[in-house]
Parts: sequence; structure tokens; C-alpha cells
Amino acid sequence: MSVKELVRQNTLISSFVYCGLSLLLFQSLGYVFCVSILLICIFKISTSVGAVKYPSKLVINLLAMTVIVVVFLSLGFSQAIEMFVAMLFGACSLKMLSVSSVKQAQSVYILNFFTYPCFYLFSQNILSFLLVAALLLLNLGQLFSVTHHVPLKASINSSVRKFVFSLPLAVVMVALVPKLPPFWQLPSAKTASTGLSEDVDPFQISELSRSSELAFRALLPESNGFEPPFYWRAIIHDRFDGKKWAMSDLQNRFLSKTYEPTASNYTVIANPSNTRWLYTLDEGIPASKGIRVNYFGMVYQRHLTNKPMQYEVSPVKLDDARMPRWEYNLNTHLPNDINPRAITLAKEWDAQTSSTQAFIAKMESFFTTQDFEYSLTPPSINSKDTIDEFLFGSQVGFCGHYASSAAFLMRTAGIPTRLVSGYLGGQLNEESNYYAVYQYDAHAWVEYYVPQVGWQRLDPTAWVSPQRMLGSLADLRDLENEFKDNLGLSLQAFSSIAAVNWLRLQLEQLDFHWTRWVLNFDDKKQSSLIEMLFGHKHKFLPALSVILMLIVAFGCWFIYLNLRTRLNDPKEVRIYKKLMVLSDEKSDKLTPKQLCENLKVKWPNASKELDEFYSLFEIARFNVRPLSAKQYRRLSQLNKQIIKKAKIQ
Amino acid sequence: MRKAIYKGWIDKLIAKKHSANIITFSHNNIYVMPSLLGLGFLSFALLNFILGINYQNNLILGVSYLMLMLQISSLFYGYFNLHGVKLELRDIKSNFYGNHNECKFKVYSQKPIYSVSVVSADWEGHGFEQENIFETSFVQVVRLNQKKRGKYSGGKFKIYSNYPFGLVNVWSYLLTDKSFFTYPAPLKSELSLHESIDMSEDTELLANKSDSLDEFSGLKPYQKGMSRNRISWRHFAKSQELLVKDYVGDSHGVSLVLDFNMMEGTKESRLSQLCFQVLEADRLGYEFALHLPNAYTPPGNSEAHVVQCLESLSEC
Repeated sequence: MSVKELVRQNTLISSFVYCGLSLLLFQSLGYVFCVSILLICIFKISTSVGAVKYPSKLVINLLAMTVIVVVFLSLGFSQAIEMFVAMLFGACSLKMLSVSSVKQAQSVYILNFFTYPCFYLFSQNILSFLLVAALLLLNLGQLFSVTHHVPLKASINSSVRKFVFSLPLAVVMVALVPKLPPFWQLPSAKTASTGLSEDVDPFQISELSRSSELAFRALLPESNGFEPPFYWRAIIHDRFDGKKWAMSDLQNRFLSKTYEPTASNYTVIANPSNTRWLYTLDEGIPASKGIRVNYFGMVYQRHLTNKPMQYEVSPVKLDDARMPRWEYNLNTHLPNDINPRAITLAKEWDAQTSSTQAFIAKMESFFTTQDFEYSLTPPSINSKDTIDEFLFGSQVGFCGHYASSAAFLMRTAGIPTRLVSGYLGGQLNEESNYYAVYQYDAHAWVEYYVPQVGWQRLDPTAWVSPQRMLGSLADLRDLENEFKDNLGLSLQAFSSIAAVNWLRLQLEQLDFHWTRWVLNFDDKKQSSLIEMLFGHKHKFLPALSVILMLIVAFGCWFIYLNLRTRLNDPKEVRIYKKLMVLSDEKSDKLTPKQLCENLKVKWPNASKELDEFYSLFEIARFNVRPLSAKQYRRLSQLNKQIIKKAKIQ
Repeated sequence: MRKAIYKGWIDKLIAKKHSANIITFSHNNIYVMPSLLGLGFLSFALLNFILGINYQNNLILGVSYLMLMLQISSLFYGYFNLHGVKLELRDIKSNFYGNHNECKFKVYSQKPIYSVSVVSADWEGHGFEQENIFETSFVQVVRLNQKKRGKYSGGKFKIYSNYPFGLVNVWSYLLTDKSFFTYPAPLKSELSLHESIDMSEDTELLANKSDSLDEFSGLKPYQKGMSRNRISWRHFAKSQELLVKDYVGDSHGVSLVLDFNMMEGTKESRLSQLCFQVLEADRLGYEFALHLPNAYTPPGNSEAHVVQCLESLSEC
């Protein structure tokens, strides 16, 4: 195959790769860019098959300008990293249109070693890892192909060996080379589209969109005494405007209360989400770097990241026996002139009861005796008095409806109350002993304040649907069908089939270990690994070990390759090489015949042996016929005799 | 100054290690360095490293280490690509100005070698480039373009490869002691053979000789060095026997001379004309001598004689 043909074929393949990668990143890069890269790909195909003639430099430059404008308009500086990657893909893709020489192709394939890993900025699961690894291997093969003018298939074959040799070394380097802290903060890609919303407005939503995506996993040590139901707090909503509960202004205010620890740490591995708020069981403070704690004793991250984030939380009990005046006002504030019926009801209960507990008991009996129904698809309520409509009208809703109404009733009675959203439940993976919490486990409940005691949790949804408290939403029998309808097509939806469920759990397990040990392999894990390998006495050994290991690995390999080429020599050549040592240093530049003549002059008494040696060597080397075993023996015998005679002299 | 010393030292080292017409490449005469492309590759590895550190992204970090390992192992792969390969310079053909001087190389290898190039480091020309060699012995030609006629030493040849992936440069040298000539370009002119006056004592004989140039006297067996133009191909076709036509004139030991001083024009033009005439005279089967300002080639009509004439023309 000619060089030109090889370059053409390889650039076409690369165009497909850029197109495929962009389409996979569709959600981040936007459809406008994806369409333009698809068009470039089609253009490339048409030039390759000869339907369109090769574009001129001017056309390419115009196209480049267009792509820049398209990327700029569709993404803009607010999504800096997406824009950067889109430009990179666009530029590479356009370059593929004009590449015609080997040199140009080589430089693009070198650049691809930077372009392809950019995919990891958006996704780091096992599938992405395998995809990009395979693409890098393909890229290496293509580089080989265009550089050495070898067909792609053969190139990939010889590249695989070199790739596989380097891979384990790279893995060891990742494990042992000391981890550096980030030099500077870079904008990160926003990839997650799921997560909690910062405002709770249940009445507008007629159908809760649920996703079976993983929200986070938690490793709870058994000694901790945590028991289900697990209420994972994420966001506090303390401002009600009559329709929605807005996120508290204190959500990212630093913790200013005193606290005391209650139990040992637990670990959470949170998947990327669209908010910065992380998940805490009751109250806790961070025990690992990079995360913060807010006023409510809940943890959050400083910046949104797009990779799974592992953190440790130390559970504490905040000292909130007393409440400042402003906080009391904030948590009892309600807008005027709405929900008159609910206000009347609450005032009536308040008059009848003397304590908060008694008030809650009244409320509970109201919810349990009335015909309230838990549903994921309640009718939407559009009137001004949403809570009245719900309590005395539809009486169908999910957690948001119940929490919202209960909080309204309690605030009316002057009890400081706030809404909490987070997750409830978790599916225990028995093999690896972690709880998996999914997006469909999202929940909302209420916290109320009791003087001298502090904030207490109350889940009004549990009165209506007690099973919801015991497990994950996925375990709810009554809602099974409704739940699955909402999920759409996923493995979770078919988990009633044993094989599918088994597969789902295995994949989940694999993903757990991948996230925990590969993606979140940080300096902490590294130092514990090094301690395990070298003990904690050695200070410099770990750092040195990498260099030593590399030297040993390459050294052994070098020796092996050397031996292999030597053993590949035919027998007579090996014997001849022993003879070469006798001569002067330049013996390798002489022909065997010349060498023998030289030796004859040097050691005349060995001339007979040398003559015989050369004749045998000549037969073996220059006649195609191989020597018999006897002749070989004679050859080495002669060799020994010559060396002996030379040494005697 | 320091540069000159360094260059002198390098040249001496190369001369010591690489002077041969057959050279087997091994650890003491192969040089390996990352190529420009390799440095680019490493800079992208660095970029990946920075990206991996800043995003605390172990996968990108892994790619950066993988690239580093690929680059290091490429040095080894590149070295073993040339290791054990034997390069032989068969000969360098002399040729006329304006044509190439062909250097015939033979490459011996037990294993396939990728992207081998051989070029002359001293002379302009084009070698064979980026050849993948899968046979155990392989003949290739390097063409040299000389800008001037003259005698040249073969000089230094560089063998190099960018295997694998173009990330490294692996190279070595072959320093030959062979020399070659670039003859003057033949310039068409009328054949002007002059009788050599000082060579002949007998004017009568000379007169006799000039008549008898074409006088055919018989056939004698071909011997090496005789002019091929005089081979009787008719006999060869019939009897597979190489016979040479013998002329009466040959026996006289007196011959004609091509004389530089009798030509017209500049020195180069005269030499070019003489070159053409040497060829022409040889074609016609004359026995002739060549007289140049600095050299005299005694008469003869063999192939070796022609070559000698051409060589002295180039050296003039």
C-alpha cells in the first residue's frame, strides 16, 4: 500500500474517532458543536471516496473560523473546559481534512495523546477508561503505520507489544510516584445533570423525574451504631414564599457552634452531582481534606468536580440548646394571607395542645386518619393556596408535599421548623459492605426545634407510607409499577430477573472498587500503600524504589533482548565470534577469510587448524547446506585448539 | 574554538570506530537519541501530567506516565532495530558530471528492520530512505550528485532509523576508504586524433599506420582488459567463443594522441571535449594516448585504459 493511501486511510479513521468522541460528550459539548463535527466527518468521507475534491487552505481556514464561532456561541467562557475540548476536537478534525504528508500525520497522532485523554475530564468510569485506552492503542498503531509505511493491522500488532510492556510500568508509577497537590485551580467540566434541586417546590411537579443513577456510596463501620433508616442530609430550606422552599442562606456559612464527637468516622464516595452539597448522616464535620462544613453541620465541597469524590465524615452533635432571636424569627416566618384553612387548623391544634410533641401527635393523627395517599405522580396544584388544596383537596403527593405541609402547619403554631432535602435509605451490598444510594432515593423531610434539646427530625411522609422509611424506594411493593415506569429503560428496571439483577450487582461492585481504589487513589491511600510495602521506617526508599524499579525493569529487558539476538545467531557464527576475540579490535570489520589469514600470520603453527576451520565455516555459512552434528563438533574442537595454541605463544 | 576542538574530537572518534567498508552495528557504534517528534511527545506527556495533577485525575496521570514509558522503551526498541545489522559498501561507481555516482550498499540482517535510511554525510545526493527490510540481505543504492568533476573519497555515510513511531533517532556511520570520480560531462565535438610525433622515430611507419587503421588482420581470443568494441559478436553468436578482431595497426606500438593543447575553448570545455573524444575513440576502436598539461596516459585501447583516461581528465 502506498504511503499516500496509508495516510488517507488513517486520517479517515481518526475523523471517525473525533466524531464518535464528540457525540459521546454530546451533553457537555452541546448539539451545535456535535452537528458541526458530524458535518466535518461527512466532508472527510466524501473527499476520501473522491466525491468531493480536497479542500484548499482557504476553505479549511474558513471552516476553522466557523467552528471557533460555533463553539464560542454555543458554549462560551462560562464553560471554559468544554470550550477548550471542543476547540481541540474541532481543530484536530479539521486538520484531518488537510493532512497529506507523513510529517503532518505524525504530528496529529502525537497530539492525539493529549486529545484523547481529555475525555477523562468528563467521564472516568471503567467503560470510558477502556474506550480511551483502546483509542490510544489504535492511535499508537496509526502512528506506527504512517511512520513506517506498514498496513494498519500489522502496525497495531507490533504496537500492542510495546503498549503492553509500558502499561504495567505506568500503573506502578501512578501507585508509587509521590502525589503532588494541584498547582493551580482549573475550571472543571460540568457533567452531572442529576442531583438535588436547591429549591423544593413539590406542587408544580406533576411527575417526579426519577433516575436510577448512583448518587453516592457509603461505608458505615458497624461499630458506629448507625441503623436504618438512614437520613442523609444535604440541603436545608428555611425560606418559604408560599410556593417553594428556598435554600437557606446559611447553607455555605461556616459552622460557628461548638460540637462534640459522637462516633468514629465513616466514608462516603459521592458521584458527581450538579450541586456542591454533600451528604451527611445527621450532623458531622469533615475528616478529610478538600471539603468544608456549614452552619448546619453538613459537609460540602468548595468547587464542583466531575469525578467521584471520596470523603470522610466525623459524626458530631452540635451544641444548639439555645437559639438566637434572628434564627427563631427566620424559622417561624411565613408569608401572609395564604392557606387560610391550614392556618385555622394549626391554630386550633395549638390551642388544644401544650407541647410540641402533643402538636405533632395531633398532626400525625390528622395525616393517618384522612385518606392521604403516597404517589410519585400526583396532580399538580396551581392555586395560590397550595397547601390548603393539598391537605383538604387532592391528598395525593410525595415526600415534598408532606414535608412542606407539615412545616407550614408547625410554623403557624410558632414552632421553628425547616425543610431538609437529601436521601433516604440505601441498598446494602453485602459482599463489599457498602450502602448504595440512588437518585430515586431522594427525599425531603422536616426538622423542628425544641428549646434546650435542639433540632429534631420529623418525617411526615412516614405517617402515610411507613415502608418508605425502612428501605429504598426500590423496595416499595405498592409503588413497584409506578416506580419502574418512571425509571425508563435501565438494568434496575429489570432487576426482577435474577440474571439481570446479578449482572447489575456485579457491575456495581466493579464500579465501586474502581471508584474507590483507582479514581480516588490519593496521597492518603498512597502513603498507606507505601507503608504496607516498605514499613514506615524508610523515608526515601519509596521515592527511590520507583527509579530502582525502572532501572531494574529496563536493565533486565535490555539483557534479555541482547541474549535473544545472540542466541539467534547460528551456531557457527557463535563459534566464530569466540575466534574474533583473538584478533585485533577491528576484527568485526574484516571478512571471516581475512580474519583467518590475519590469524595465520600471527600464529603460524595454528595455520592448519585455521584452514580447516575456515573451510568448515565457509560450508556452513555460505553454502546453504547446514553442517552435520559431527562437523559442528569438529568446528568447536578446532576453535578450542586454535585458541589454545594462540595462548601458548 | 571550543566548538572546533569538540568537532575534531568527534570526527576522530568516528574515524576510529567507523572506518570500514563492512560494519556490523552493535553497542559501541550505535547512537540513540530522542527525536524532535519524541521531544514533542514528551512535552505532551508533561502537559498531561500537569492536567492530571491539577484535576487530581489518576487516569490522565496514568496516560502521562504511559507516554514516558513508551518514550524510554522506544530508545531500546530503536537500538535493537539496528543492532546486529551488517552494512556493506560494495562499490561506488564513477560517472560523468551531471549523472549520479551510485554507491551500492548491501544490508544483512537476521531480523526485519524498519525504516532504515542510508545517506552520504559528506556529499549531496539522495540515499534510500525509510525502507523496511524483511530479507536477510538487501541491495540498495545511494546516489550522489557532485557539483564538480574531480576525484572524491567516498567519505562518511550515515545510516539511520526513526523506529519505533519516529520517537527516536538511531544512527551510525560508515567511513569508507573507497574513492570515486566524477568525469567531465562529454561535449560533442569532432574527433581530432593527432599523431604523436615524439613517440615515433620512423615517419614512414607512421604514414603506413595511418592508412592501416582499419586493416583487419585476424581474430585472437579475448582477454580481460581488451576493448569490448572489438569483440566479434558474430563469432560469439555462432560459437559462444569470444574473439577479438585484430588490426594491422596494433602491431606497430605507435598510436594516436588526444592532446589538451590542440583543443579550443576554456579548460573545462576542452576537458569535456576530450572526454567525448576518449569515448568516441574507444567506440571506434582506436588505440590512443591522452596528453594533458599535468598527466600523460600512454597509448592503449583496453577498457582499463579508457577508465584511466577519464580519471586523469577528472583530476586535471
